[in-house]
Amino acid sequence: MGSINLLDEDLLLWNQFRDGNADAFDRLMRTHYQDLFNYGSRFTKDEDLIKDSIQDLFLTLWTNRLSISETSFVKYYLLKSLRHNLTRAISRSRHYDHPGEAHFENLFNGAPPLETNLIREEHLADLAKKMRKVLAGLTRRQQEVIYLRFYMDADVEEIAEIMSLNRQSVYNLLHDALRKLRRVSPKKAFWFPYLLPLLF
Amino acid sequence: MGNELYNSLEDLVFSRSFRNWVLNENTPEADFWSGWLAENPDKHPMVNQAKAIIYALQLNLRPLPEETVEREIGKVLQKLHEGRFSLPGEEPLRRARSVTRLWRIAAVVAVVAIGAWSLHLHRTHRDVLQTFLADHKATPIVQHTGRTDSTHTLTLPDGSTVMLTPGSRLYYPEKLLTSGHRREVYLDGGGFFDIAHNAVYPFYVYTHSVVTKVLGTSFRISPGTGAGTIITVASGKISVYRNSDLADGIILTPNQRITYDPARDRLDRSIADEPQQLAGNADTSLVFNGTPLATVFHRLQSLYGITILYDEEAVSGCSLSVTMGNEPFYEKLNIICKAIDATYESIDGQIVITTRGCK
Repeated sequence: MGSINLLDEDLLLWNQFRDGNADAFDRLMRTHYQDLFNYGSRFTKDEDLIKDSIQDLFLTLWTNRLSISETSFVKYYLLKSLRHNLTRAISRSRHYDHPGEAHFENLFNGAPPLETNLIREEHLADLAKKMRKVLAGLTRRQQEVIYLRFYMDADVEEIAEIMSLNRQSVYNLLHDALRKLRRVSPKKAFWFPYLLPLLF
Repeated sequence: MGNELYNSLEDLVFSRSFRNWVLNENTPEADFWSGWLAENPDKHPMVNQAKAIIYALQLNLRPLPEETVEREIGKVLQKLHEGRFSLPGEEPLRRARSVTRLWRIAAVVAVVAIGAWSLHLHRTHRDVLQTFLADHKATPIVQHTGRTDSTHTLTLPDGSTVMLTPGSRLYYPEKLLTSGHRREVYLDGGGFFDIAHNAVYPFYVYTHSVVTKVLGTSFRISPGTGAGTIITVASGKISVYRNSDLADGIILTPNQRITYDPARDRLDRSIADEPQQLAGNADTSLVFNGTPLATVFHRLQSLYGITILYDEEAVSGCSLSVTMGNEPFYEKLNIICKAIDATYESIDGQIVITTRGCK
């Protein structure tokens, strides 16, 4: 509904940018900067590194605007490029102290605790806390897939592109995560408060 | 919006409309959702779960202050204006070194900096052909034009045969073998290839959109819709690359098909419309009598070379008693799935079975 108009606008800006329109390029950067920064923050806390990677991404984009063709989804194109650039930069910078790949950091562990006063239906507060616990216990890849699906509205195919996985893997990751969440039931929440007085 | 079905937890959790309503009652879709809720009382436990998950997913990420975004964008524009900057990928990627001269041209334009992601390079047939011809300048190039009204089969110097569809053209260096230890041809149009096996000299078919690499095998290349391309493997194994990214190939096995979509510069793997039983199968019978389902799937897999994914646990209690003969592959799948109350999907060139199991 509203999101479809944004897509058209994005595409328009993208084509204008490819034609060398600097204003369109400026608008494009502005539109996507926050999403790029948020996604980048999933891989490192080094804000300067994230900003540098985003900068490199935009510099490269403009420099090569003539050889870029149309794209259906600017957002996912940018996310994929950022993921690639940033994870390489992180791996390189880690080379001396922690050799290894960069990966998606746990999104829910150490996040500020659930603000239960924002949950309008009180009886769901406990269930929400349980869900949060399950989310924090998901594998990094599952969390990244959920992140892209939920916060970036990416579908299975787009997630596969961004994360360089095949569709079946993404499908499995998503469904495993949902299966774990589905198993969380509110039933236990009912007996616990009743049993509590029995303990004293 | 009323046309969408919300049947599963996933449907609700990932619906923007549902999320907006959960987090803020006063959305324009509020009426729809309260109505839907009233009409689906059996779904209330699932709705509660979905709500709880959505609450749990609220992270209240601190947005970047606007001045920061302004400043960063300003830096980009400044650098572009001054022209004094270097792009990150200007050292060659390790993979790029093994690419031949022909494709180094493509690589430079594709900007190796962005790495595995292609920059949706939209090269025309003319460009790719010119590059191909330029690269084989040292030897005479044979240009074979197919007939206008029928197919035409030609034999290449190595014994491979190519059946060109009407109006298609094939270009290749006279001796076919290149100094780079390859056999290379350029196809304009469509054709069925039966390639003589030679592991020392892999065979490459270039088209305006993709490159197909083979060792010895038979497959068909057809132009798809628009500027797309479709490749189906009959026997053997091939790998297909987009012109825009030669480091990232997709392997196709028999009965798989790849479609190149130029609009998205993407290769999509799927199963051929009419999968054929693989040659070399001595026993093609499909007689099952109380046979465990896992065995049935294994049999089907060996006969067609198509991977079938299923939940081993769910299927462990199922068995099948049926005799199948010459039905098409998909018909066989239908028969099996109907018998055990399951469904199948074709995903990325493989079959995925969904079943709740048998009692």
